[in-house]
Parts: sequence; C-alpha cells; structure tokens
Amino acid sequence: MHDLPSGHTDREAVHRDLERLAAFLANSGHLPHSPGMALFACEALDLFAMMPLPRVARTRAVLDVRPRVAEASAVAPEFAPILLAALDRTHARFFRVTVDDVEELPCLTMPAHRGGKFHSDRGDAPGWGEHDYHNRIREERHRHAAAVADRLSELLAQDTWLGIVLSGPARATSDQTRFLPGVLQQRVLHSAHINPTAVSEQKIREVGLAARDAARMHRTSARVEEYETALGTGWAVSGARATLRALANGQARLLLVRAGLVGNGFRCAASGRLTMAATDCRGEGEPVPVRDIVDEAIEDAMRQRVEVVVVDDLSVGGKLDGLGAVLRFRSPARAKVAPAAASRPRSRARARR
Amino acid sequence: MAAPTVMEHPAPELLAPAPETFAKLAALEAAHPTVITCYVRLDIQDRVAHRYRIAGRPATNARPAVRPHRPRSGAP
Repeated sequence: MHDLPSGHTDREAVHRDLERLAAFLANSGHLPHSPGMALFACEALDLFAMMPLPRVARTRAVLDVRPRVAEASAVAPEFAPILLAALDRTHARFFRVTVDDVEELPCLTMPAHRGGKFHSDRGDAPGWGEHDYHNRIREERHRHAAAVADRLSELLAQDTWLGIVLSGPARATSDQTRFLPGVLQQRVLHSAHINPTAVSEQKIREVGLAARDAARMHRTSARVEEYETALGTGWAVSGARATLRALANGQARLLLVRAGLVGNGFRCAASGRLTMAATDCRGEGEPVPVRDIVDEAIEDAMRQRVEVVVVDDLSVGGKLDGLGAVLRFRSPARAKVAPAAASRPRSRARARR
Repeated sequence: MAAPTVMEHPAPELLAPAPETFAKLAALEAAHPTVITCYVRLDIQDRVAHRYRIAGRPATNARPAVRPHRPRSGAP
C-alpha cells in the first residue's frame, strides 16, 4: 500500500474522496443487497464507482496509483445465481436468486391426479379404504418429487448456477433430496423451512443469502481441514514469515488468514517481497514500510490467483498461527537441508574421534 | 434570504462485475497514489448495528503514513 501522497493538492483530493466514501457508507439505504462491495474513488480520474460482490475477504481500504481489482475479479465467478426450489407435497416453485435480485421461473404444474376406477370425480372419498387413500397420496408425492428432480436437472443444464437450495416443509425437502440424482445432491447448498404458497421475495432473498453464507462456511471448514492435513505432511507452512516467503516464491496454492489479524511490515523495493522485518530485505532493495502486511499479502495472493480464506471461527482454525498456506510445490532448499541436517551428527562424531 | 445550498455527495456509479469492467478499471492509472479501493464486507452479521461502518472506520481513516523507515544510526 502506498502512503498518503506527499503533495498538498493530492492529500486534499484523497481526503475529499475519503469523505465521499464515508458519506456513502453512512447511509445504509444505499448499500447493495450483496454480501460485499468494492468502492473505487479518485478525484483526478473522475472515478467514484461501486461494484456489488458476492464475497469480500475482509473490510479494508487501499491507496494506490491504480484500482485494485484482483479480489473483485477473483470472486466474480461466484456471482452465479442460486436455484431455489420452494416445494411442498403438491406445489413446486423455482426462483433464480442472484446477489441482488430474485426472479421467479415457471413453476411445475402437476396434471390432475388420477381419480377412482369407477367414480373418478369423487376424489377418493367416500367409499375408499384408508390404505388405498394413503397409498395414493404417497404415490403422488413420489411422482411429484421425481418431476421436481427432472425439472431441476433441466434448469441446471440451461445456465451456470452456484448451487441448489431446497426449501419447504422438512418432510418435503428430505423426500426431495432422496429423489435427486447423485450429481444434483452434491450441488445442494442449503435447505430452509418456508411455505411455498405464501413466501415473499424478501424471505427468498434471506434464504439465498443464508445459503451463500452456509456455502462459505462449508468451504472454509473444508479448506482448514485440507490445510491441517497438508501441515502434517509438509505440504503447508504456518506462521507469517514462512507464509510470506512461500507467497513470494509462488509456492502458495491456498492462503489462510485468521480474521482480525493486522500488523506492520515491509516490502523489499527490488524484489517486491513482503517481509516482517526490514533486515529481511538484505540484498533485495530498500525496505518500504507497509501499513498492514496482511492486506498486502491478500492483494499479492489475489494477483497470483491464489485462493484466500479468512477464518472467522477460531474453533475451526485451531492450528492456524495467524497466516498459513498450502503449497503447490515444496521448496528445493528444504529438501537439501534435510540430508545436511542428517549428516551433521556423523561429522561431529568424526571430529570427536 | 436564500436558503443555503446543501452540497450532497453524488451516488457512485454502479459497475457490473464483467470482464470488460475489470479491464477498464485495470487500465486506469493516476500520476500519484490517489486511487482509493475500499472492499467492504456486508454479510448479515456485518450489517447488524452498522458493524460494517465500525470495521470500515480504521480503513477509511486518513492517517498519515506509518512511521517512515529510517536506517539505523551509523548505517550508510
């Protein structure tokens, strides 16, 4: 991150831009419905823009000569809409839920149910046994669930979706899950209790946001588990110093950051490497202080298309020491160190003799 | 007496997250580091009691730079 510019005019311009941002943030009515946003402001470039985002790693502001779009472009594919199915025993409504909009798709219309053998207009009663009546209901429920599964398959094939949300009475959603093919079952993000015949757009939006949150939580816990496994096998590094080195070497595949972590650091002027101490930049140019080294690490990671996961839940990231990374490849230096370390006692023993 | 004019900040332009938008933004460059990029989390828990503003306050607080790097005394 660059510091505030030295010129008075530029500093005043930055102050005015910050005031514009603060004024915009002060009114919550202007905020998008999405779970995050990016704001870009520069008076000199006549730039004041807002971009809704499906996810933001952490709230931060950066000052630079150009807009930092790495994170926005990295999370753009997550803009894919969610396919929400609101269903019960007889109804099935489908919604396309984007980060800031809800659109209802054509619902599923079931043909009139089969009547009795001789009295088709009598609607099951009276005169039918209870067993037959319930058997009919069960059969219709199964046909309905199969038809919904078919429709979901068709809709998924037509567009790019983030996943499926099944909503309705618990029995209907659990029945429906069993009727989904394996591929579709893996794409179910969330399930929710709603009444499909009396659901509002606001409720659909809330369910969609909750589904995105649940998907993010699931992704975080899966990534932390992957990190802990890799740490045991030497395919991950823990701690700020090792993680920053791995990031500079292009080794990192996944960057994990504990939420709320801040700290000053330096960027080596010649190599561009981030370091914790100024002395670590020896031979790599002048150390330039950076305000928040974690923000810079996230920016670097986004530029390298490294997946960044911010761990909010402290109970999930037990072994995470502030920063951590899962590696694409192990450092050759590390492999060389191991035999040398192994031979050290032997040479000492020889010296003693 | 004329009523004082209230200067309101204009609303920001809404950008769609499309590849051409990213290309357009990436092409912009200022002469000095004066471009502010602010990422704001707006999850449900961040919106409760305007927590996003509390989180954003230190980020948008225009403090002077962190302590400038000075070489140790005696260093060339």
